[in-house]
Amino acid sequence: MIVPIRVGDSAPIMQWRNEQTYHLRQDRVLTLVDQHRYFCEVLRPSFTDPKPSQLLFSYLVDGKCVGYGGLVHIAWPHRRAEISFLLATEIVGSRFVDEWVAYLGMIETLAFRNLGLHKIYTYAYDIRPELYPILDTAGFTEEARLRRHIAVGDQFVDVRIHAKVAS
Amino acid sequence: VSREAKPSTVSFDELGSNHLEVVRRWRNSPEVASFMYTDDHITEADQVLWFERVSVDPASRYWVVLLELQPVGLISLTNIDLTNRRCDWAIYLGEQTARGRGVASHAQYFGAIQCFDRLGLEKLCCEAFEFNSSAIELYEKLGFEREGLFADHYVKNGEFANVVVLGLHRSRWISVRAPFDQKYQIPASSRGTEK
Repeated sequence: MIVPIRVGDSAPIMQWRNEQTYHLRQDRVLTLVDQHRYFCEVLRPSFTDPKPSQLLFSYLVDGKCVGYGGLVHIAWPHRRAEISFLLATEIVGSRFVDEWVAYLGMIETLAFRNLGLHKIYTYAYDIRPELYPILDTAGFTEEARLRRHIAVGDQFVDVRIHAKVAS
Repeated sequence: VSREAKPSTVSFDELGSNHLEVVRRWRNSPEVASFMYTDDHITEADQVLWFERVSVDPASRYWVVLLELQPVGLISLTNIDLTNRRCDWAIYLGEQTARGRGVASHAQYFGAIQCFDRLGLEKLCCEAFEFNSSAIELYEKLGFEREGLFADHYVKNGEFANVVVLGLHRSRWISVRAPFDQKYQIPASSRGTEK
């Protein structure tokens, strides 16, 4: 299940982010001070904003937080948002498919049914091909492949954007 | 009689506070606003705030396009990303008298020079509404290649509209630039890398 992101999950989330920078738009190692400031100054005010630019959630399995994500870059006038999701590093290898499938179902319901959005999309560095069949099965289609768009180390990689429009 | 503007009559001036009103007039005009992502009328105060923001933003550069020393349009490089070595651009001509005369093509060339030669970036990116076929055609003439189509991406005039996303890589630019270099006569000595 997903619940509004909890302050108590901020430390493990920071750790997962720092361990998985290879696929995140994050250019430095986060500290607890960074994380505390982000939760207090960015996330907390967004809870009372009727049109926040992002909605973040802790992702729980059997009551334990094993990931987080939500809708980011929400463009309310255009009724679309980008999907964000990060799994705990220790289960990425074993539960990637199962948790992504479950999470996509929840986030799609939230976006289309609860928020009335028209379109959701993913923005992924082209380094995790195991993601694409999951998106395909969930009814997403590839809208763009931005060639050599991101520098990873001394190489450039593509970005692949998959989207789903409300039916 | 050719209406094409002589390359020597086209020049570029860094955007300054003296240009704000003419740029605002263009940006609010139906001819320009109909191709923009936002429809809101821009007030004088909005424009001043916008200029205060972009004039100190190291990731943005704006130039006014001049034809025979008169301002006729705007070109910008934005989201200049030195980590991923790319930026976005946007171009429009606000004066009807400048359209259909090759001025936009010249401005595109200037933008590519700024991106690849001056800033030393690897990729120039842009987007356009799918219905803006003349702009897309112009981009493709310069060497841009389509990288995707964002369906129902913006609400424009009350309806969802598609957006075409395009990219121009340094390697492609090198292979196509010769005729543009010749036409617009930018001497090699002025193509030095800034960063």
